[in-house]
Amino acid sequence: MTTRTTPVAARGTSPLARHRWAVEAVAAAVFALALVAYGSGASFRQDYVVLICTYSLLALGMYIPYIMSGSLSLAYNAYLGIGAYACGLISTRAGWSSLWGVPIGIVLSAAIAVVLGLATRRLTGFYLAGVTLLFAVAFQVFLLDRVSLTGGPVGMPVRRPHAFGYTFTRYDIMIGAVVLVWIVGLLLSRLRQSPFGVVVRLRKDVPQVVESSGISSGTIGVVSLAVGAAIGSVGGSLFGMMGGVAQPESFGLHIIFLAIFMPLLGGQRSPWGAVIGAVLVVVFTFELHILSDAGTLFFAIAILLVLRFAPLGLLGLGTPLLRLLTRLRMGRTPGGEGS
Amino acid sequence: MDEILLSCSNVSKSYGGVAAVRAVGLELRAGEILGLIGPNGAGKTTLVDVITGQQTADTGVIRIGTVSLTGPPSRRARLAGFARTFQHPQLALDMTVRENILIGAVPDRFSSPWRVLASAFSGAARPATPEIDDRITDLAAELNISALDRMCADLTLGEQRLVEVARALLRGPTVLLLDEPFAGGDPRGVEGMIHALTRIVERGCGVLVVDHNVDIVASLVDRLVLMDQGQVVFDGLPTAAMASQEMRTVYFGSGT
Amino acid sequence: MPVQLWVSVVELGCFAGLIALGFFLVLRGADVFMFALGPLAMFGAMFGAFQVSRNGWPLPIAALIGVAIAVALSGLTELLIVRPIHRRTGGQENPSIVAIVAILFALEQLAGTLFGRTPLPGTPFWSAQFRWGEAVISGQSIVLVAVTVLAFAGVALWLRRSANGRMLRAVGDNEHAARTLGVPVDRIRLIAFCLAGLLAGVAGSLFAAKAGVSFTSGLQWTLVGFLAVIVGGLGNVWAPLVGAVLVATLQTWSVFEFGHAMRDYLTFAVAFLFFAFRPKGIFQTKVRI
Repeated sequence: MTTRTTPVAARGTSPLARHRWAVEAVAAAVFALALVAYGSGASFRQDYVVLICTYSLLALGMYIPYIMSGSLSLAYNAYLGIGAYACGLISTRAGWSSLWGVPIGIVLSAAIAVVLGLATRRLTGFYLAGVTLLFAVAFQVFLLDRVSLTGGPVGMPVRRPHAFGYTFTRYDIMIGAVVLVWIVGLLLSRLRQSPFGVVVRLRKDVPQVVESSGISSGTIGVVSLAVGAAIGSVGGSLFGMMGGVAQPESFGLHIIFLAIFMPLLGGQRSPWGAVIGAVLVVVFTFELHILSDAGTLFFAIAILLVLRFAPLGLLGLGTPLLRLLTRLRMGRTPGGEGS
Repeated sequence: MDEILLSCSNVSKSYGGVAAVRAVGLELRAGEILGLIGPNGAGKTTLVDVITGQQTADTGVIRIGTVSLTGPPSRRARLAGFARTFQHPQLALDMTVRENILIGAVPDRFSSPWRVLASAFSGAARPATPEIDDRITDLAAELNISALDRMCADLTLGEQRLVEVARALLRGPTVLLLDEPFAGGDPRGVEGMIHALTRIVERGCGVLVVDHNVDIVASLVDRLVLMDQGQVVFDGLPTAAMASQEMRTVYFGSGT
Repeated sequence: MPVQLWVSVVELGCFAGLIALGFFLVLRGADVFMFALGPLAMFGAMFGAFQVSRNGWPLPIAALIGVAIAVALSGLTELLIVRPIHRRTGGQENPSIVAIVAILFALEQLAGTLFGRTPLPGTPFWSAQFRWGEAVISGQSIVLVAVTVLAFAGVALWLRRSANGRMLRAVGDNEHAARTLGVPVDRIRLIAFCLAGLLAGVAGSLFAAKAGVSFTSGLQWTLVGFLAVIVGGLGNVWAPLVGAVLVATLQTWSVFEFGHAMRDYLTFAVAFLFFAFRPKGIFQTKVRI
C-alpha cells in the first residue's frame, strides 16, 4: 500500500538545496590533497598521479555521452591523441608554449567529435561501437603512418609548457592536473543535476520523450560528444606535457577499453565514480607489484564481477552501507525515527 | 465555432502492404476535447504517431493552423505546440518524478546546438532551478501527484500516466494528445485522469483523447470520432455516436 | 594484383567468413553482437600454438583442446555474464555490449598472462605446397577452404532442417514472443553461443598457421568479422561469406596498391559508407508482414 498522506513537497525547496555541494567539494579536495601528497615523493609517483588524472579526464569526458546519454561512440583515443599531438606540434613546429596546444586540441577534437557524431547519428548500440572502433584503429594508423606530421612510431617531443617567462616543472603540471580533475569532476556533478543533465539522462532511457518534448535528440547527442571530446583532449594534453612526448602507442584501443570500464567500476551515479575507477586502473596496473604482469587481468576480472554482481559500481556499494549506518544511528538517537 | 488548431486531411499510412490508416480526415478546435475511439488495430495509435511525426505518412497533409507539419517529432512539437503522452508510459524508471516532469519546462533551452551548449555550461555553473521546481510543484499539486522525489519505478500505472500528463502540460501546449490514458488503470488511476482532464480543459488547449474505453471517453468529450479498419466511420456528438449504427457495427458486429 | 595475393584473399576471406558466420548465428539467435568471438578464436589458437611450441604436444590434440576451450568459454560467457545481465536489465542493449566488451578485454589479458605477450607461431595441419601457375598454394589453405565450405553448408542445413535451427530465428526476431510460444529460448541462445565459439575456435586454429597469433590479434579479428557482417548483411546464411570475401579483396588490394595505412582508412570508410547507404548489407532480410 502506498500512503496517500505524503505531503506534497513544499514550495521553494529545490531538491538541489538538499544536495550538499560544499561537502562534495571538500571531500573531493581532501582526496586531491592525498593524491598530491602521494605525488610529492619519488619522481615516478608524479607520473602515476598525472596518469590517474589523464585517465580521470578521459573517463569524465565519456561521462556525459556514454554514462548519462547512453552513446557508445568510442573513438576516445583520437581525442586524447589530438590533445597530446596539438601540444607537441605547437611547441616543436611553431615554437610556442605547448599550453597553446590545449585550446587547439579542445577545438579540433570537439570538431572531429561533431563530424563523427553527425555521420553516425543514426547508429546505436553494437553498430555504433563497432564503427567508432574502426575509426579509432584508423586514427592510430594515421599517427604511425604520417611520419612527416606526427613523427611516426617514435612520436614527437612535447616541450615543457611555459608562460610569462616561467617554465612549468613536472611538479607544477601534476598540481595543475589534480586541480583540473577536481574542477571538472565538480562541474560535471553539478551538470548532471541541472536541466541539461536531466534531459541528457532522459535521452538514454526514453529518447521519444525528448523528441516529443520539442528537443532534438540528435543535437543533444552531438553536443554531448563534443563536450566529452574536449575534456578528453585536455587529458591528452596533460599526458603529453608530463611525459614530454606524444607517441602512437599511448593512444591505442586499450585506453578506450579502460575508459569504458572505469565509470562502471567506480559507479555510474556520480562523475566521481569515473575518477575512482581511474585510480583503481593505475593502482592495478602499476602500483601492485605482486600482480606484476597480471594487473590488467585482475582489473578485467574485477570489471566482470562488478558488471555481474554490483551494477552500481563501488560507489553504489557505499550507498546501502551509508543507509544502514544512518538507520542504525537514527535507531539509537532518542526521538529518532526508528524503523 | 472556435478556430481549427489541428487538421488532418486524406492521411494514409500502410506497413508493407497493410493499410493501417486510410484517407483519414480530422479536425480539432481550440478548447475542444475530441475523443478518438475504435477497437484494437483500428489505426488510432498509427494516426497519433503520424501526426506527431514518430511515423511518416504515405499521403495526406497535417496542418497546425495553416502551417503544414513535416520533419522529425521534435520539430513538429516545437512548431505545433504539441505535447503527448504514450500508450506505454515512457518514463525513465530510475529517475525521480520531478526529473521526469522537468523536461516539459525546458525545451526553449535546447532549440539550437548553441543553446544546448550554453545550457550545458550554465547547468554546470548553476544547476538549481527553483522557479521551475515551483512550477512543477504547483502542477503536481493540481493533478494530485504526491511525493515528487520518488523514483518512477515505484509508481502504479495510473500514477505513471499522470506523470506523463504533468510533463506534457508543463510545456503549455496548444494541442495535447493523450494516447490511451485510461488503459490498464485501476479505478483510482482512472479517477485521477478524469480529474486531470477537467484541469486541462480549463487551460483552453485542444485535447485529443485516444482510447478504446468507449464509455469513459464518451462521457468526457465534446465530440467523438470512431475509427475502424483504418478509416473514420463516424464523427459527431458523443450522444449521437453512441446511438449510431456504425458504433453498433464496430463494437457489436450486429446489423448493417 | 599478382595471383599469389588472390590466394591470400581466399584465406583471409574464409577466415573472416567463419568469424562472421559466428556473429551471424549469435545475432540471429540472441540479437547480440558477440564482439568477443575474435578473442575467443585468438584464445583457442594461442592455447594450441603454446602447447605445440612450448610443450611439444601433438598438433591435433592441442588444436582440439583449443577449440573445445573456445566453445566452453563462449557458452560460459552466455551463462555466467550475458544472460544474467540481459535478464536484469530487461533486454537493454548497452549493458550487454559492455559485458561482452569486458569479456573481450578479459580474454585478451588472460591470454597475455597465460601464453605470454609475444606472438606465437601457428603450425599447419597439412604442410604440403602446391604450385598452380605462378601461385603457391599451401595444404593449409586447402584445409581452411574445405572447412569453411563445410561449415557454411552445415549451418545452412542446420538452420533449415533441424528444429533448433528453425527456432533460432524466432528467438532473435522477438525473444518475448518466442518465449510466449513455448520456444526454449535459453537453450537456443546457448546453442547459438556454443556454435559461434566452435566456429571461432576452428577459424583461429586454422588461420594461426598463416601469420601467427598474439594476444592482441583477437580485436583485429573481431573487427574484420564485424566488417564482413556489415558488408554482407544478415539476409542469408551465405551473406557473411560474400561480405568476408569482398572485405578480404578490398583489404589485400589496398595493401598491395597503397600500403598498410590505406587498408585501415578504407576499412573505416567502407563500414561508414555501408552504414550510410546500405545499413542492412548487400543481402537484406526480406520484410515479411
